[in-house]
Amino acid sequence: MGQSSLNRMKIQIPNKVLTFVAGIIIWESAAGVVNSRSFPHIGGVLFDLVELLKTFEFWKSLVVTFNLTLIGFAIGAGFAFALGLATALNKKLDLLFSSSITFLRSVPSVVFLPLLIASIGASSRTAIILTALVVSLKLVIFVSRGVLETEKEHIEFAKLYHLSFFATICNIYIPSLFSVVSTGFRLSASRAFGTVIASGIIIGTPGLGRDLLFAESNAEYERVFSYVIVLGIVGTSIYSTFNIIESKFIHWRVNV
Amino acid sequence: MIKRLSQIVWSLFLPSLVLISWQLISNYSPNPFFPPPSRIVTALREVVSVDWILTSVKSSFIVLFAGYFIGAILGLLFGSLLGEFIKMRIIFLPICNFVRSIPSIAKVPLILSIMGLGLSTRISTVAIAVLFPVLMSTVRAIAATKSELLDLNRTLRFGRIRGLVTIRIPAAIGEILTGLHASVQVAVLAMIVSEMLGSGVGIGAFIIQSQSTFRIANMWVGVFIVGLIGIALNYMFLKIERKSAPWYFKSKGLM
Repeated sequence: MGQSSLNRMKIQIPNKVLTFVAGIIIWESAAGVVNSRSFPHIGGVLFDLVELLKTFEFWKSLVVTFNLTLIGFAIGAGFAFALGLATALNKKLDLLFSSSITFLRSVPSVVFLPLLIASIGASSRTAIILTALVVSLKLVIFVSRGVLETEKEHIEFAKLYHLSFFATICNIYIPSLFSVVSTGFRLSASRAFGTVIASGIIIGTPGLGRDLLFAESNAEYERVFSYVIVLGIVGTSIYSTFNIIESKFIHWRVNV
Repeated sequence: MIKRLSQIVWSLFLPSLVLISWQLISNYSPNPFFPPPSRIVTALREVVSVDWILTSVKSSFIVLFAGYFIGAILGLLFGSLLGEFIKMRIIFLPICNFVRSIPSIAKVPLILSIMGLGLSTRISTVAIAVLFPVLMSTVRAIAATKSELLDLNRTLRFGRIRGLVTIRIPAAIGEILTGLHASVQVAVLAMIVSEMLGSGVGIGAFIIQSQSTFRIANMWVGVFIVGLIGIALNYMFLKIERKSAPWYFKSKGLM
């Protein structure tokens, strides 16, 4: 280990400790100001969090939440790729869909929830459909921009080698658009997770969102905070994972 | 002129096709959850009255604007401080990042359990939802001030606060405005959720009450109005940001 990395470690450790201490001071000050059972002290919440992590129901809910997020994300991403490629490669299709996409993007996704409950009921399917809708509307713009930013030389190259339409998409457009879409993946994965949680809170679809709402309605205040901490950890992990993948991908792209 | 007209026709083609097909399908095989557009227009005429605007819409707008301004001002203030003072940024930014990672809707039950139901709860929900995206974009924009501008600040001996106000914030205004714009959608979402979860007033409550009492056409009216509010705010902000910092948006090829 070099001298510079040792110095960096010396600086990093106190900063992390300072962040931790600052977090506790902010929490305890807020608890002191609110001075109510509904804003518990950090010790009680951490104790409850440990208890929560020991329960089977928690892990089951976590797995359900992940499953719904992944399925909704995959469907939404597939749809966004198809629509984004079609609208970017065909001006008429772009004009055809742009006004509808603009309108749907302006409507907060949760207002579709009552509509979905009315038509298909409050089930896991509702959460998946809403998540897919949110992801596709978020990602379609990135896919479209990625295709439009493809370098002209690469497209000429495809023409020169008489690549078929599908070969051009697979070998020219998709590799080129991934650097733009990776940012879209990161943002829409966080949004997908948020949408599954929102479905749980608003209409009671299975998962951590529903558990959080149950804790709130049963006035289990420590549990409410425990769930919110867990959601923060999961949210940060999703964002960081995509960030790492994105930086690795850009690294690969620069090397090429 | 003909090109522009053709663009308008193409962009209106799909929504018109959807509406016409919806109307025809509803006439032949009625679905209670998808009332025909003509029925929704009738419901719109019945619902939208001065009384309704003064209760539901006014309440929603108070929550939206008050929450947005409180959240945006706090975000700009703390974001500027964290952008300027590196030590503060190193300590507090991980905490802000963590809080931002919690889905904004998941914060609603927490705020409800601390503050109970009421106007202040709904305003706080919107303010907290707006605070963190604005704060993060402000920190990023101010921390990325070009070294030449920092040198200028040192040459003019402006000091930290004066330099922040007169050099760093104006230089970062384009990115700050982008953050403020992105937060408008978050604010509308937080407003709707806070109204849906038991407030009893506002457009969000109107949508959920219409659904639970099977007045489905009214529910569609609520969805349509929220969409219009979203589009109007988006368009308004686009105009404001392009007018406030034209040089930034020109440099990004957005003007």
